[in-house]
Amino acid sequence: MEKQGDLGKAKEILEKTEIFLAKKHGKKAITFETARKLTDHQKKSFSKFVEKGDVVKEKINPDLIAGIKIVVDGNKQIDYSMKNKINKIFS
Amino acid sequence: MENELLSQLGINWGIFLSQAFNFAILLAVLTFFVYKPLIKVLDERSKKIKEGLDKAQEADARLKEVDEISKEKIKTAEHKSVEIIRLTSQKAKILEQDMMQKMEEKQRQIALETEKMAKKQKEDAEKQVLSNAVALVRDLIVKTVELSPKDIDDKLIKKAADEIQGLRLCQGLVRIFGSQRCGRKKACIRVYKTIGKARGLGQS
Repeated sequence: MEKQGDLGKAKEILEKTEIFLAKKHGKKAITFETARKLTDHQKKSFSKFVEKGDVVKEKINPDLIAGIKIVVDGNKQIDYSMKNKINKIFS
Repeated sequence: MENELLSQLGINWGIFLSQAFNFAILLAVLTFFVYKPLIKVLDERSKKIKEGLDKAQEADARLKEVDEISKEKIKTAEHKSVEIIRLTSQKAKILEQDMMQKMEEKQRQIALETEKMAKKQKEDAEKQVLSNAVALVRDLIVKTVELSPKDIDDKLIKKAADEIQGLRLCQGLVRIFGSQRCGRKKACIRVYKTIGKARGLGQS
């Protein structure tokens, strides 16, 4: 990777690999993106959705203002963030 | 008798003959040295005068000819000048019309451009106002959210969880009933809400 100058894409490659491996094992790669850290109570809401063996990631993104954005396997997403709602209002 | 008469008149034949001879000599000398050169000079002079007169006549004729030519040329030049003036006037008129057309076209273009610019400025101003309003409302929402972020987070996260539950339920229904509605998220949510309410679940 260093030889080919792809070190900058290492993180992306790692994420794709994780998704690929999860899919291969019949599991999901789920990313919870929130403006603030999820509380235990909030995490519990998704307990039924998350199965054992799923690759779960939590990401803090203050740009979302509030709410949550859930990305499944890198392509499916449920966006309940305030940023998305505002964008929908003004688009 | 005859001799007496001559002698009474004082004519002496000897003297008369000698005088006649002298006169003849004088006449011959004068003829040869004076009369002939004089006649020659006079002839030459008259010839020169005649030549001069002929030349003067010729010159006069030429002058007349030249005068006629010049008159003709002046006339032609006048015609030409009139024609040139007429053509120039026509050209000037055409040029004037052309310039007027161009000017009108340019005025139209300027008017169009001005109108376009004014429209663009208006649009830009509207966009700017809209953008400012959006930014203001956005800031207002952000500030409102920041007052109690936890409540809003909870509500939004609960909605997300409900939707996921609904989708999962829909997927189950698809498996059971073979419905094609699972691809439509809103339809799925409606199904979920209906069933959820019946089960006492999924309060939105």
